[in-house]
Amino acid sequence: MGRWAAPEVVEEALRGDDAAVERLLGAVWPGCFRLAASLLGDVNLAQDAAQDACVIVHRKVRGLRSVEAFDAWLYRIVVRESSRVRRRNRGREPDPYGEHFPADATIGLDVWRALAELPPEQREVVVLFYFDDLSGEEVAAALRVPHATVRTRLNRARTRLRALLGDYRDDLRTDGLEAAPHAV
Amino acid sequence: MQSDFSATARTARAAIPVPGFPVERIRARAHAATTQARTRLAALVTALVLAGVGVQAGLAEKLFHGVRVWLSGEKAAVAVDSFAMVSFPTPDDLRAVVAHATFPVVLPVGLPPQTRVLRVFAAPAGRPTYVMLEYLKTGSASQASFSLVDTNALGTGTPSIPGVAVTPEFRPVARWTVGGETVLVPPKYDEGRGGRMQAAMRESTPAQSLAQNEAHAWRITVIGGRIDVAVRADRLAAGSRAVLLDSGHLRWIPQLLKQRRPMPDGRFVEVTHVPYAHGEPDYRHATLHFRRTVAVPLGGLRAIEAAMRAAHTTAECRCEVLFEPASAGTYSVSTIPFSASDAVRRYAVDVRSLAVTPQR
Repeated sequence: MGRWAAPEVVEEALRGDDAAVERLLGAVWPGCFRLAASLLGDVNLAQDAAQDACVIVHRKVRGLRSVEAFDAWLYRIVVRESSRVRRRNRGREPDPYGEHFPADATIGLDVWRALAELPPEQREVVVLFYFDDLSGEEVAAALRVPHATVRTRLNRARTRLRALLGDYRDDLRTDGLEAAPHAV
Repeated sequence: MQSDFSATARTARAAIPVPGFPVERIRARAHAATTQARTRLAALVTALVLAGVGVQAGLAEKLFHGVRVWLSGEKAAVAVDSFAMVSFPTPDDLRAVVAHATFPVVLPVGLPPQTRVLRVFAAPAGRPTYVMLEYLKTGSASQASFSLVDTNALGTGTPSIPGVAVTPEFRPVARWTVGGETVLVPPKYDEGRGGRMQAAMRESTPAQSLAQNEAHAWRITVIGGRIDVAVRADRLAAGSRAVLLDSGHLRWIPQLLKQRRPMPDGRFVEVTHVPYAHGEPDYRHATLHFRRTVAVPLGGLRAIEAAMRAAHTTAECRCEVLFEPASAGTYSVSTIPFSASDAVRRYAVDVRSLAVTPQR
């Protein structure tokens, strides 16, 4: 099972027509939107970023080498398009996801508020590492940065999160980052 | 090991309400972007061709508009900030470019008979002082480009682009003059052929050279596709109003029909505001303006869709479609396979009922 969609759905899109590609996009859309929302902290911008990402997938998925390459490829696209949308909308008042949350999701609200306090590059690694459960190397591949950079950003983010989220201070996982000398 | 933080994070994210999947918007944007990407690619090819004669881009203050050329011995420096481009030009397109130029344009003559004009560039768009033609010898990968410059518009003094910290670089070219026109070709151009063409151009008038080039232009409108298929379609078409569509355009038809929009003719584009990146012109981020010309009207798109349905074929058919406008109450739609040995299938489509009749 792929992270985004079943391998057979991806395979059909790689070999198929527009209808197959659109079936794949329908399957990945919620994940794209939620990842973009996590990265951007704004549901309206997330919609723009997810849509931009889907347009790229629509145009280029047939050129992908293999089904296995799809997951990492889509992560890269969503992260990159989210960064673009953020740059385009610098200075805009955010429309935070917190306000769209169900009333009982108070713990979730803490997480989002803490995340909003992080600079974008730290937010990216936290989202991919903790929310998407990617390994350090997978995060590095998605962001196109060295593994060491991921470790540094994640350690800085953890320090900040520990201050913001006292409840989770002992729970911020470090697996996959064993080489980090200053890991939590 | 999964931490509480990870689990909470994932739960929090799963609770984000997701808006509806905007499939139609994505589809429309993907098709539009594909068309633009093709044109950007063509613009990039242009850039590479221009780079062959040492082009630098100029933006900043608009002290010049279009293209500026400086000469020094057997070298030229060229700066460009905008140009208009037409791909697969028809004789009408060639005539329009020549008619608006600031100088009497003598086009290259004495080209091999299998040669076709791939693209024509004019700068500035409305009143060109610079015209460039790109030719392809069909059946081979042999390409040639000729830059024709109004000698009166040549730059004087040291090449410079005001406001840009890059000096246009002099690079080797072969050149000759024909009346008020300076012809530039890449330095590796075959000397013998160059000499013969030079002599032929000097003996030719603008009207004669235009007539010769019309034979190398495209009789039909090729809005996309493979050169070999385009050459076959050009021979096959009954009239000059035929349009050749490739798989990308065929995939776009259902969307256009839903939106009740005709198929645009994406062959014409104006490229402006060429920016700089790392001291080089960055054509990929230049501004593109497409001319709003219709290639296939809505009725024609319906006819193509009907013919393809009747032929049990799709955009993935490894073929291209030649559409010919209505004559005697029927459209003609032909599928031309990539392989020249496979048969072309032709269909007559009734203008009113869209009934499809296979033709011999």
